[in-house]
Amino acid sequence: MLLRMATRNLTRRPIQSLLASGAVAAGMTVCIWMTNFQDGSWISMLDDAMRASAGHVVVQADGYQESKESDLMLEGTDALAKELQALEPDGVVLRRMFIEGLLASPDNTVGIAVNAVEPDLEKGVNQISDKLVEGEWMTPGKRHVVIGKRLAEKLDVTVKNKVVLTLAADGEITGLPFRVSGIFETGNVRTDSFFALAPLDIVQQLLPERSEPATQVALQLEAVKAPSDLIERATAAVGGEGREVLTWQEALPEAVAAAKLDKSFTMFIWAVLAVIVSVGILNLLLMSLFQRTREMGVMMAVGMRPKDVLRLVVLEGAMLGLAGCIVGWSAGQLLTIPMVTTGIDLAQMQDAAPVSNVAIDTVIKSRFIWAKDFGWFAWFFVLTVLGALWPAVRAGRLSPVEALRHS
Amino acid sequence: MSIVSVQSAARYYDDGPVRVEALKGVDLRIEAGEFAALMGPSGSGKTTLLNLIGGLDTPTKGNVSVDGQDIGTMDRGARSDLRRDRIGFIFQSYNLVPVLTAQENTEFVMMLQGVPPKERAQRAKETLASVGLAGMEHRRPSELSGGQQQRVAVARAIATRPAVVLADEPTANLDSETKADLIALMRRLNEDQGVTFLFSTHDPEVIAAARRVIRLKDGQIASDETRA
Repeated sequence: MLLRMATRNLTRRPIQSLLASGAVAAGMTVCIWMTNFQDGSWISMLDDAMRASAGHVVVQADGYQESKESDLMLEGTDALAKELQALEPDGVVLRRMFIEGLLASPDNTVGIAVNAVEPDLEKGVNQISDKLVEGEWMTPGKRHVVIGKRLAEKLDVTVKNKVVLTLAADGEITGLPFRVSGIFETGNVRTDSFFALAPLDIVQQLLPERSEPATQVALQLEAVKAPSDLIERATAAVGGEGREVLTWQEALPEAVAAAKLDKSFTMFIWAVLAVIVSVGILNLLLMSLFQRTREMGVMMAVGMRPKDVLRLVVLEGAMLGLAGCIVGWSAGQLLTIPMVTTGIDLAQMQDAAPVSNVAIDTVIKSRFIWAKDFGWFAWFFVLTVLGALWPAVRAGRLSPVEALRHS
Repeated sequence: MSIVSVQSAARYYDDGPVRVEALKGVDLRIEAGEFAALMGPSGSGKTTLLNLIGGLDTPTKGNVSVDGQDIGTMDRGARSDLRRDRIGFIFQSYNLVPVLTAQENTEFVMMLQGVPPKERAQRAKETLASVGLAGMEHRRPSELSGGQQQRVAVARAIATRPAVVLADEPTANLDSETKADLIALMRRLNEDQGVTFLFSTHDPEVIAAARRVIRLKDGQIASDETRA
C-alpha cells in the first residue's frame, strides 16, 4: 500500500513531479551523452594515436622521449624487434623512424615530418592507409612516398610524380628521389600539409653510418588493454643498453594529459548537475511535505511509525528518481545512436590535436560506454534518494499534534 | 481494569515566559463499553485530555494509561504502536488520506499492523458495510459527502477492534441530518459491538446521546455524570 500511496502522491501534483523527474532525466541525458561522446572519442583518438605513433610497449633510444632529438635512434632493430615479438607472439612489432626533412618538387620545396615505416605491417594498424584519396599505399623496398593532399597541392605534384626527400642527419645533408605512390586526406590541416610516409628500409639508406636505425620499436596488441605485467617483461627483456621502455601513456603524455583535462571539465559539469538534481528533488519533496503536513499528522496519529513516514517520503523520492533515471538513461542512449553511426566531423578542432605527427580520424564517433552509463544510472538514483532523505527525516520528526493543527 | 486510567494528569505548555496550564491534575477512568462525552467551553482542556489519552502527547505530571500501558514511560515508537493497536481516532474534519479509497483508508491501520492483504480487505469491506457504505468502497474522499467521509473515518477507527475510540468533535462539520445518523451509528456500534467511545463535543445532541458526560472547566473536571 505504501507503494500505491507514493505513486498516487506523486501523480496528484503531476507538474511538480514532472519537473523534478525531468530535472533528473535531463541531467542523466547530458551525462550519458557526454560520457559516450567524450570517452568514445578519446578511446578512438588515443587508439588511433597509439597505433600511429606508439604501441602498447614502446622502445626508444634513451632520452628521446624527453628531447625528441631525431638523431637519437636505436640501432640493431631487427634483433630488438624479434625480442619484443617473443614477448607477445600474437602482437605486431613495428619499427618507425620519425625524422624531419625537406620534400622538393620541380615547383616547390616544403619542410615536412617523415614517418619512415614498414609498409606492410603499418598498413594494418595506421589509419592513414584508409585515408588514401589517390594512388596506392607504399611498396616495401621501393622509393615510394605517401603524402597529404595539401602537401601535394603545395608541391603541385600528383600520383607517380617524382619528389626529392632531403634529410640532415649525422652532420650530413643527404637525399633520395621518391615517387608519390599515394595521396591521403585526413581533414587535419597540419597532417595533410606537412606529413609524409616512406618505407623504412629506403629511408635507412640515407643513414649509412647506422645499422638498422629506427626511432622506435613498438609492440602493438590487438586487445585495447595490455597484460599488466607486459611492461615489466619488456623492460626485463630489452631495457637498458641506452634504451627506454615506455607504456603508450608514457609515450603519448600530451594526449593522455589532454584526455585527463577534458575529463576534469566534465567532472565539473557533473558536480553542477548533481547539485541541480538533488536540490530539485529536495525542493519538490519539502514543498510536498509542507502541503501534506496535516495528512502526515493523521497517518502518524493512527499509528504510522516515524520510520514508516520516512520510508514513504524516501520511496516517493526514489520513484521520482527512478522514473527520471530510466527516461534520462534511455534518452541519452537514443541520442548517442547517431553519434555512434555517423559521428561529427571536427576537422578544425583536430588542428589543435595534442598528438604530433599522427593522423587521427576527424570524424569523431561516440561509443556506448556501458559500465560508466550504468554507473551514472546508479549515481543519479543515489542522488535522488539522498535528496529525499532530509525531507523524509523532517517528516519522521513531525509531532502528530502539531501536524494535525497545520492548516 | 479500566480501559483508560488518568491519574493526577497535568499538561503545561511554555509560551515564551508564560506557562499555560491546559490541564491541572485530572483523574478519570473509562471502562470498557462506555459511551462517554467530554464537554466544556473552548480552552477547557478537552482536546488536550484526548491527546494525552490517545498517546499523541505526554503529561507534564501524573499518569495516563490505556489498556494497562503507561503512556508517559513510552518512546515515540511505542506510542505509535499503542495508537495503532489499541486506539481508534475520529477527527473533526474527517482527515482521511486523500489518495486512498474508502476501502484503502479503512485498511490503512490494518496494513500498519501487518494484517495480511486478503484478511484486511475482507474486514474493511465488512466494516464499511456496517457503517452503511457498502458499494462505495472504491470512492476516494473527494467523491464522498462530509457525512460519508466521517463514516469512513469511523470505519477506519473501529476496523482494528481498538480498546477505545477517541473522537474529537466528530459532528462539528456535519449538517443536522447527517449528524443524527452518525450519532445513531456510534450508539449502535457501542451497543451491538461493545465499542468504547470517548468523544469531545459542544453538540447538545451528542451530549444527549451520551451515557456519561464529563464536564471540563479551566483544565479540571467540573462534573462527571453517568446516566441510566
